[in-house]
Amino acid sequence: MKTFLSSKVQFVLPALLLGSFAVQAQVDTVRASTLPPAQLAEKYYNSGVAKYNSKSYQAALQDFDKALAAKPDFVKAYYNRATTRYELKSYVPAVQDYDQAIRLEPASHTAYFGRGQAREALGQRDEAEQDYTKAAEVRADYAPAWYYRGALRFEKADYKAAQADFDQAIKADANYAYAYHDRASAERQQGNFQAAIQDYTKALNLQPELLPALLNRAATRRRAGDLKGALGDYNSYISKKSDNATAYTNRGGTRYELADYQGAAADFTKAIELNASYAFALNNRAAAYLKLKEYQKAADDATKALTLNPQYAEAHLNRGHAREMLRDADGACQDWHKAADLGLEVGTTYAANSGCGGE
Amino acid sequence: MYKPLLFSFLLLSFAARAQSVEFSKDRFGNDKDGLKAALRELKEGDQWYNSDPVRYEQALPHYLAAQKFNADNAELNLKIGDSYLHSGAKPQALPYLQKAYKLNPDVDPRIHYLLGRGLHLNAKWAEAIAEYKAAQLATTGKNPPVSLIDIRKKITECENGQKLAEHPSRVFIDNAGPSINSPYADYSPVISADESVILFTSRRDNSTGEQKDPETGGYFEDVFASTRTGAKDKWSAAHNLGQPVNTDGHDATVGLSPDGQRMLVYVEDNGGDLQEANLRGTEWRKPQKLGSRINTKYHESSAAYTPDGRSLFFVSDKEGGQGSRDIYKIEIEGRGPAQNLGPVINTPYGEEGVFLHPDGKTMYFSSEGHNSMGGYDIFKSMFENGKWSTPENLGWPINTPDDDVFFVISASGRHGYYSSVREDGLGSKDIYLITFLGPEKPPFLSQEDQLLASRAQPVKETSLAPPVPIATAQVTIMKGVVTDEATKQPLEATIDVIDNTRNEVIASFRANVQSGRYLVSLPSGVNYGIVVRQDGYLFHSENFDLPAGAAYSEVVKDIALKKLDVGVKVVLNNIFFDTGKATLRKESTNELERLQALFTEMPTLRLEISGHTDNVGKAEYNKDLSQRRAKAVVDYLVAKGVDKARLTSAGYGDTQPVSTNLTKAGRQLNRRTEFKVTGK
Repeated sequence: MKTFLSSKVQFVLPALLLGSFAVQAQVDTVRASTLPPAQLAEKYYNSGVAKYNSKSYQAALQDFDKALAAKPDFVKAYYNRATTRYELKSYVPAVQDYDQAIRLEPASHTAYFGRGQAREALGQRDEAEQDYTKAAEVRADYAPAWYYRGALRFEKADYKAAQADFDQAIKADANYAYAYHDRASAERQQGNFQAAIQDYTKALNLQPELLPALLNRAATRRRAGDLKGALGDYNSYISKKSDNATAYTNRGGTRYELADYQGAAADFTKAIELNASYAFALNNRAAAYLKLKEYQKAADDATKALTLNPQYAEAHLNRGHAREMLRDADGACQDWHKAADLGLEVGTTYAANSGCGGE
Repeated sequence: MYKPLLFSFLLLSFAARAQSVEFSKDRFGNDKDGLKAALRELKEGDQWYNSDPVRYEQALPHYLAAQKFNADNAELNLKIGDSYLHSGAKPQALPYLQKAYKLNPDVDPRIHYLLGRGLHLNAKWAEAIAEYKAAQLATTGKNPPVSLIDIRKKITECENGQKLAEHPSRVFIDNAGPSINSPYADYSPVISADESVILFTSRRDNSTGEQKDPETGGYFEDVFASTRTGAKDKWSAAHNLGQPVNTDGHDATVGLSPDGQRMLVYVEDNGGDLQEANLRGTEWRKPQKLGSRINTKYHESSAAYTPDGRSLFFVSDKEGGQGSRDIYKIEIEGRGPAQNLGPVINTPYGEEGVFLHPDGKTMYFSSEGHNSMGGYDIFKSMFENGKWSTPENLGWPINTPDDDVFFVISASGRHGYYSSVREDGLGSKDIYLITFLGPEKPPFLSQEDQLLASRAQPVKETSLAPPVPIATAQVTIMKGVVTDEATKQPLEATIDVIDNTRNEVIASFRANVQSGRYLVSLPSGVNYGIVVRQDGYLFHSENFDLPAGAAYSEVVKDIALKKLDVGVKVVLNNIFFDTGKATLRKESTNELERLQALFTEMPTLRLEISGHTDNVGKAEYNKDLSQRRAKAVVDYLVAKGVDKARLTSAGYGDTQPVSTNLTKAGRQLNRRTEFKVTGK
């Protein structure tokens, strides 16, 4: 069970692997040699498990249906059909099957956990949180329940509560790389940068291929003022994975803060090559061009960013600056006012300092 | 290896020891006519160069003519360089001085100093310092060619320049264009506070009398004017103001009141004096002397009005100051002597080109002292808590190693004007527009991170930039046209500016007789009553309560004065009550006294005083409050001796709105005290 939870998984495919884990962990094949002669339900059930494992989900579903038709109180069949339906993105029927499994076996922490996952997939985050809570109540050392509840709480910006859940997940599984990673993020959001850096480091030690931890540790080091340390992390990441536009964009931001505007512009350019519709990279390159006094290029990049996202306040602010330097005072004022309308208050200050007057 | 090295050494030696070529028959025997003409030019140049005082600008064209014949004479190159150093194109001296030194390192005992000057004026700070230091070493004996004090000052200026150039001012500097500038010298611009009018001095060829100054060779100075024709820095073709402002001699404008109705003129009489001219309609009246409290036998040059028009800041080199030219302040209508602004502003060196911002507390001036980077630099100082702040150099590239003088700035603080010699000029000095871009505007970056290991959803962050200071001017400009409400004709009304808190008229202005235009500057930090009055009309009052630090704004308010007639209503904008009460606040005193005076001036006048509210709250309450407030005004007037029979009071609550109640501005207009003429 913990083999998966120790997160020896591809970072980008947690949901898929979670599903695989749930089936394998929960359901053992019922041995044919021990079956009494007429155990038709078990036969279908075992066939369903085999088909699930070969990723023939639709065929597996039919077998679990037959198993349940033959034996309507077959808890494991409900559970596995729910898991199969989850894989088929049939979340509502999956929840119904988990309901049945829980009805028949109320102490099943994995059924609560599975239902929580399905409910999350349905966007029912509060209900999912309740299911994770229940799973953790039923079995306090079940690390995934704590971890996923922590993630939900993190997304509600309740970082303190999230951190407490990640603490519990780590207590239940001291090698849980994801939990270290996400606890680091919770610490980072609370401004506790040193603790965050330590936890990201721990996650990386446990799972060196958890590369996003490098990016996040870099961002945290940047926030803590350790720009050179941040640059080192970005460099390590890019040496291992060179097709991530976000990594180049964030390294560019660090180079920008180190006043290496040429280097920053080169990174933003690379990010744009990897993802031509990455508005952040375009906006950031506009900022670097402003520093390099290449105002027309800055205005062009900010305009492209705004074409991708017309509500992008920062791009309005930067284009305003470029336009001012290009002697388009009216255009600059419009951009600064728009940035202020979109929530960047400093737009009002920029406009006032350049004598824009009212809107 | 050995031979090529020796060869290189010999080449270098040869290059360094280039010989000065004499203007001699031995050298130019095959071009006797050319030599003769060149010697003639040299002789004429020398006559100007050796005259007392030296006429460098007259010498220069002759020297340049001789230089065309023989460009390799050390002495001639030195004289050209020296003449350029004393011309309007000082940076051009450098290549001639460098060549003179190359041709003959001993060409002149001042050569290192002159090279220092040439480098300094080209903003080559470090190289200039090196030459000045070499000049220091060469300055020995009882009669050194250059004073050590002067050299030390120049070194300090270069050090200042190095520091200031490291952090350039964020400005655009644009030529004001051919509507204003000419191929001749154009300088000393002055503007109205709203930049609608610019006056400047020019030595162009269509000067009054079209005479040339025999001393300098150029045309006499005249004052020219241009008006803004659009919002985008477009100006009408400048026109000569003509007589009586301009005469056959030098006539230079040095100051303009914020409303553009009064001008200060410099004349050469009496060692240099200041005069004042008034605008009547579109014609400037003959300038009048400013009197002996300002003008002395010494040199009085530039001057500026305070925004209330009651005081003058001016420059004089009279005795008793800090040294050279100093800035003084004087009340124009007062009796006391002019006050030297003291050592925070004035230095042992020259101060010139004083200008007062319409905010009433910011002064701009030029100085050869403080941390000048060379010649006169422009400085800024604020008068706060009873004293002037340490002058702040406006920095590079506004200031240069040469003289930067006669700077003026708009009320908004956005635009400055001055004259400068620049590469994109139309010839000689030109007038330039400086656009201030304000504090640095840091760009904003975005980034995102995938903060949860089990989620693919990134979280966006914006890299926060540090807060940016707000740097707008703290003054409100109120301007417009005063007319007769019935005939729509302009009126030459008087505009009184009142400090309501102190119950004091702090300034009075007149609208232009022909256009009815007026402009008043209202520095922030005062509750202003503005009263527009004209004999035969009921007064009009406005209120501007501008807290300290209120940012720049420009309010256009056309005012139509009403003649006294039964039924006419006038809003009393400067009557204030405590919130929700009928207690008159003391800031109302001036308006109430004005009302009282109206009864005295017009013995048969009868008025109804009425109170009005917006529609916020219960109608009954509003009606009662407005009634009590109107009565409070009547009671005040009766207590001051106005016959009770001449006054009635009425409370109309929200029943007579003059604007919408849907907006804050509309509701504010509806909350008012007004009077109606019920008998005359």
